[in-house]
Amino acid sequence: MVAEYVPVLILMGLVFAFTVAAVLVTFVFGPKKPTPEKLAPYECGIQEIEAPQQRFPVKYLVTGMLFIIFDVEAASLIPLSILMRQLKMTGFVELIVFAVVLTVPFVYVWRKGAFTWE
Amino acid sequence: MIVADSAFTYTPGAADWVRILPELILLGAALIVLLADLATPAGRKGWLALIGLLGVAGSAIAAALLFANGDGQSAFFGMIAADKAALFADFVILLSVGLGLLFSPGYVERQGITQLGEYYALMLLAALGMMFMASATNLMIIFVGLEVLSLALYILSAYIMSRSRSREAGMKYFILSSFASGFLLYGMALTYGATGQTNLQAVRVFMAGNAFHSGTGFGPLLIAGLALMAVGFCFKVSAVPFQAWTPDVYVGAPTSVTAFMSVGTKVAAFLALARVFDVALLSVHATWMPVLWAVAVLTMIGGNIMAVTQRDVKRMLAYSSIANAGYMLIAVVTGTQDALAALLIYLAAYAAMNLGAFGVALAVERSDGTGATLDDFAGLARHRPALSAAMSIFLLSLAGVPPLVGFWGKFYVFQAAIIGGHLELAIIGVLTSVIGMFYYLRVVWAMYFQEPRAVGIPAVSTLSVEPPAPAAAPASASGGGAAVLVAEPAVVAAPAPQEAYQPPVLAPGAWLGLAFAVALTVVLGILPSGFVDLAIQAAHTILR
Repeated sequence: MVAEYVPVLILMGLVFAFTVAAVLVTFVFGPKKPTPEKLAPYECGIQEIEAPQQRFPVKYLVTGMLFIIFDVEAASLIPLSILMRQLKMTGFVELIVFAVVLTVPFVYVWRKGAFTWE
Repeated sequence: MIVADSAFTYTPGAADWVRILPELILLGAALIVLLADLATPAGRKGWLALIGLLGVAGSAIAAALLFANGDGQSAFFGMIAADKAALFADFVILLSVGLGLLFSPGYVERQGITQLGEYYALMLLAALGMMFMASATNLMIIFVGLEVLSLALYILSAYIMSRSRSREAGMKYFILSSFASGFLLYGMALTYGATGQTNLQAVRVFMAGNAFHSGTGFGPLLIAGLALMAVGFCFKVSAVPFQAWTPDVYVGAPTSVTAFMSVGTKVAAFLALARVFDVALLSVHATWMPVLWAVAVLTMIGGNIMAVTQRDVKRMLAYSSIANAGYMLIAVVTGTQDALAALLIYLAAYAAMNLGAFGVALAVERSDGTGATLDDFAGLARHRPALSAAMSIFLLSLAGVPPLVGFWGKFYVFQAAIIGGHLELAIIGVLTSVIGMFYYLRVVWAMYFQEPRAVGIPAVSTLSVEPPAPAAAPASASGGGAAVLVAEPAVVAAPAPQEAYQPPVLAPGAWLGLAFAVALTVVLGILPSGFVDLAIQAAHTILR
């Protein structure tokens, strides 16, 4: 019983070893040419154009949230499409119900202006 | 693929859809509310409440037809029950969301709540989640129903975005409740691991066919699963060690939402709790019973004692709802068929009286969300005799005074506990009810035997002496500034009021809702036999 899980244990060991090795190898052999920009926290090595001291709109927040919701819901259609032949008419009705439930909120957020950028 | 086909041949048909018709109608109403919100101009959002109420009524009719004529079979491969217990719970949930919708239009206007389309749609969707959770006969559906209702309620709790207490309520409820959902889900996963089933009936069959030992085999896994599920459910019904979120959320959320969720969440969570512990896992009753026994005792004692010190009536009602969860837990601990009938009776009684009490608190509340303290209730009977009388009926019913419906709830729960061999729980329940009597009757005493607080008198005289400025907006906060200037000379002795007292103004819908709640509390109290019979019938079906 327990012996069946030995491969999992070996895999866990390999994953751990690989992670540590990858970090160590780049740390030891990688060239280091530090500049002030590279050493600054939360920067990617490029000199900043403007200090982000003031507020700025996060317009993609609503779009992003809505995308995740609709994306996940659309993904639920995949199992339905696999079983569509077997489910016959029932499956079709379920598909329509699902589409209506998905479309009404879509129309709602659209008309409420969630997709207008400006 | 071939293996899967031979193992699983269930094809959902029309009968399955008919069995979840009440839920489908409510879902349809929620979608129509969303679309109608786009078509209605800003001042006319009351129509949305009406659409919601029509949906609730349609759903209730469907539930009634199913209750009378349905075959009681489960829908969708044993996922969702359409038995009488589920339909009885649906009724109670529909009653609470219906009253919540009736209370809403005037209240949301007074509190300046905008985005009403989403507000009403979320109310209906929360009720939908509750109905699914109450009808679920599969651990997965219990969790899905719970998440649907919780997500809607997180948003609704934080709905008055300009008020920090409301935002706090939403945030607190979200973080703590998600954590509790995690416990519940982990418990379900372990139970599935132990029994290999998520279907409650299949779990029951597995338990009947396999010997349970707490130390060996699947025993330890199941015990861990039971413990985690108990934590999750106890959080959702706000039982004491897990009650801390309840007062803050109930006070911070819009009162119309509080009224609805204080009842609806309990109905859903208690039905799920009863189905998991009293039906699927009844054979290990001896294992989980001591834990829930202790939680029930702590909840009854803790809830009642903490309610005594509250001066804010909404907060007092929040602790009272904790105490009531304790009485309902007695029924779950006892676990007999009588006890489940008593649980359903208690839930129905609790719905009528608790929604009514919150409805009155909502009427007395001021437009900034404060003003439901005992001082605000002082002398209320002079300005608002009908409102005070209604509040007295609800509070006496909550206290368990005989001719009202709350008495029958307690009566059947304690009777079932005594017959089921838990005399000690019945004794503790009766003793803590006496403590409850104190804080319920204190509000009645304040309404009838206390002088109105000092600010109350000048506000009334202000209205009669100098009507123009304050009377222009009798229900809004903006009128308060002018009134307090006029009123100030008369209130030298009183602590300086921030805002002049406004006699509570009720919208027609709220009057209708309160009248309905009073009628239910009194009529079901005097003639309990009809709905008690229905609850007993319903409890028969849950144990099959």
